[in-house]
Formats: sequence, C-alpha cells, structure tokens
Amino acid sequence: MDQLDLSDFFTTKSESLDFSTRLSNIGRRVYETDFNLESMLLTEFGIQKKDRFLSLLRNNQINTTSNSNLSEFFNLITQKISSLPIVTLSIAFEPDSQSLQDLSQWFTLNINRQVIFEIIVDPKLIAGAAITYNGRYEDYSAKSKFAQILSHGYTL
Amino acid sequence: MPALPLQIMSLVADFMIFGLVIYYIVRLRNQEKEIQKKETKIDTNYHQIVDDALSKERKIIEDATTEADQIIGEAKHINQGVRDEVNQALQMLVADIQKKAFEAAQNFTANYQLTLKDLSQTSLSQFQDIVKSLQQDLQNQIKEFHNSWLPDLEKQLEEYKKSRLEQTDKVVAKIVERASQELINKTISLEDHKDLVRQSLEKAKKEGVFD
Repeated sequence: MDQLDLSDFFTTKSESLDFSTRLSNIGRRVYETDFNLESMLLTEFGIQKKDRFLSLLRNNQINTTSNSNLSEFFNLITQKISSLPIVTLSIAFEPDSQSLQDLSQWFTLNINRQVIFEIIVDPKLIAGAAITYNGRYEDYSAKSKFAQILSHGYTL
Repeated sequence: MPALPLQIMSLVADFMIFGLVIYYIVRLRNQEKEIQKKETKIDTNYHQIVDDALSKERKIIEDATTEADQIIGEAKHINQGVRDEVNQALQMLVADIQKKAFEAAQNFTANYQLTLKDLSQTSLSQFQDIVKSLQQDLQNQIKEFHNSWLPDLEKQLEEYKKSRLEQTDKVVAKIVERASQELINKTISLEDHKDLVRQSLEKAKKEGVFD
C-alpha cells in the first residue's frame, strides 16, 4: 500500500474527497452485468485521468476483467487516501495545478510519502510558507522578517 | 133558438170587455203623459239649479281673486316700506359704530404712548445698572477662565494632540506595511514564489517538522 502513488490524481484535500467519491461510484457498479471499466473511468475522471488510472492498474498488476480484483483494489485506494497525512500550507500566492503537483512531488522525493495539501492563500505572508503538520505550526514566510525590518525602520 | 140569446149575450159581453180594455189603455196613456210632463218639469228645474250654482261659484271665485290681488298688492307695499326702514336703521347703526370705534382707537393710542413714555424713562436707568453688572460678571469670568480653565484646557489639548498623533502614526505604519506587503507580493513571480515555498519546506524538513 505504501508503494501506491496517487499524486497524479489529487494533491489537495478537496481533490482527494472528490476522487474518493468518484471511485466509490465506480466501485458500486463493478458487479453490474453491463459494467464497463473504461467507460466508467472516462465518465468519472475524463480522458487523462482515465489513462493514468489504467496505468496504475497495470503497474499494480490488477486483472481488469476480474470484478472482485477491481473492487478490492478500489477499497485499497480508498483506505490509502484516508491514511494520507494532511499538510496545511499557508502561502502568499494562488497556486495552479502544476505548482501543487511540484510541491506534492517535493514531499514524495524528500520525505518519501505522499501528502494531501490544505492550501490557505494569505497575501500578507508576502512570500514563503507557514506550515502546519501533525499539530505543529511553523512560519517560514517573509512576513515576520518584514515586520522586524519595518519596526526597526520606525525606531530609527 | 136558444143559441141566439146566448150569441147576443156573448156578443154584448165581448163588447163590454173590449170597452174595458180600451178604457184601460186610454187611462194608461194619460198617466204616461202626466209622468212625462213631470219629468220634463223636474229636468228643467235641475238645469236651472245647476246653472244658478255655477254662476254663483264663478262670482265667488272672481270676488276671491280680486280680494287676493288687493291683499298681495298691499303686502308688497308694506314689505318695501319695512325694508327701507331697516336699511336706514342699519346705516345709522354702522355710522354710529364707526364713530365710536374711531374715538376708542384715539383714546387707546394716546394712553399707550403715555404709558410707553413713562416706561422708557423708568427702564433706562434700570437697564444701565444691569449692563454694568453684566459687564462686571463678564470681566470676572474672563479673569477666572485665564487663571484656572485655560491652563487645564491647554494641557488637555496637548494630551489629545499627542494621542491622536500616536494613533495616526500607527495607522500610517499599518498602511505602509500593508502596501509594502502587497507591493512586494505582486512583484514576486510565480516561479520565485514556488522557490521560496520550496525553501520554506526545506527549512521545515531540516527542523524536523515532518518527522
């Protein structure tokens, strides 16, 4: 389960919830007689994510003709999502999806685990980030330094 | 033979009966003529009575009309006379009232002027006294204001000025801070922002935030 990388599908908390919901929709219909995996994936995720999901199934050696295997794999993904740690990132800019992907990859490369972001956009931070992880809060933004400089300037 | 006397007797009897009938008819005719005469007489009398009554009625109406015309004429005459008299009386009354009102107004004006004159003479001296007293009070209050209130006011004003300046400084500092933050934030490119976030994550990793 630890090898399962879902960073291609979601990076933020809201995206992970949406992914889970859509996966549940597919999972509920696995045992239906007219179930068509590719069609369902296309409907729920769109063409790009459908292809990525099929790659994920291949990489994890899931037999797509076996309904029970599929159902089991979907449950595994759902469990994985609920176990992912949440990192609250307060940043000074509105990140695009590529920026979120890059940040997500940083976590995969540097701390060897996928995380889910909870993004708070706060322009007062100026730059950098304030991070909350596992109940710990650290402010690495330029805001505090800027305030120091400004107060020093006033006292002169 | 015996039939002949009977026949004669019968014939006589028939003549007698015939005579009686003729008599009766003649009598009836006479009675009818008498009744017709009486009716004619009664009718004549009735018409005469009706004609008399009508002529009397016409006379009465004519008399009454004449009399009524006379009464109305007299009434009109009396009415006109009364109206003239009332008008004359009213004109006299109005003239009298005007005269009396003019007299009363003249009296009132004279009295008022007299009273006003008296009042102005007595009030002038009182007014001068009051003005003097007011002037004195005013001078005293100005003196008191200069001695006690003015320094307090100056002190309070100075404190107020100081606190307002401090508040203004704080507001200006806030504005400068916010403006600078926004300005710097906007001048940083997306790539630089991403780099700075990555640097923050590196620092966090070094400090063991993700352990």
